[in-house]
Amino acid sequence: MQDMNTNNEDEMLKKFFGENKTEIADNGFSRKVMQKIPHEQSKDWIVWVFAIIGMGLASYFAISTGLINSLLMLFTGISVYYLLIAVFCFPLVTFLVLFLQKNKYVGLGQF
Amino acid sequence: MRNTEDIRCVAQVALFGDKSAFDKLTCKYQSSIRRFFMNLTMGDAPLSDDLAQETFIKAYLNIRSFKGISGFSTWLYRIAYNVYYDSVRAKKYYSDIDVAEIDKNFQTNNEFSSDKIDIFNALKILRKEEKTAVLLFYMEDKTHVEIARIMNCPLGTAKTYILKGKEKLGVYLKNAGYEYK
Repeated sequence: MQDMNTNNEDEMLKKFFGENKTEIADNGFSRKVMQKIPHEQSKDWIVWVFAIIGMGLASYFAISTGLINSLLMLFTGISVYYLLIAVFCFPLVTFLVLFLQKNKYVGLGQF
Repeated sequence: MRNTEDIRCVAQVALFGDKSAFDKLTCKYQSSIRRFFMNLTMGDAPLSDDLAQETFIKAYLNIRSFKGISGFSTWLYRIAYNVYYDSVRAKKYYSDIDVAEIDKNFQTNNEFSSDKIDIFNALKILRKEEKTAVLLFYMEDKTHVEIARIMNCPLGTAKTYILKGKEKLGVYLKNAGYEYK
């Protein structure tokens, strides 16, 4: 009996608050908020400065130690057959990884 | 906008200071946050807008502290709850009157309040914690766990606030002849 009363009260309150629930139109509120938000100076330049410094250092060491020449020699020395195998294997490996991931997801979903 | 999109917007704001992403969040949640304040302040629209503005600005400034454990909406309501009670405390400090009187003082004759006089009268009979919990549960569709997080209280306490509020409002509405069938 008490449960029934509680359920009735619950339903009544849901209806009462539902009837009184209104959406408030924005009417420029968001714009005012955005205007009042303190302006922060962009720190993007830090990323660019470090990126340029990093690339410069990497290029300097690559050229001065002959690493670039070594890499070029290595790549030019690779047999064409190996490259072809790599090209054909890539989609196979990708599909295999996706297949495994999907199976794992389905397996977890059952629990 | 789903919860994952909220998190994406939050990440854009936190990492890149992307204001347009925050604007999306403000547009999405402005109505519910303003309605929450409107009901807490008994229909004082200017005060509600001021408090809502403060809530969104605080959310923007502290967005990096959002851990994503609860939803963005719950986190935002938690800030709104704190902003409201800070405001109540400040008013109490200056005028030394109780919350019920503050609520009465906040009530104004505007468009919104004339339509909503029944709900404000009904909410007046509740204690401030009960009022907050009931509004969050019935009006803003928050779960018990979310309400406990918003009000920073144990789950049992949040449930008690809702239960007490429900009992009081049930009696009030029945006595007022509210038809619900």
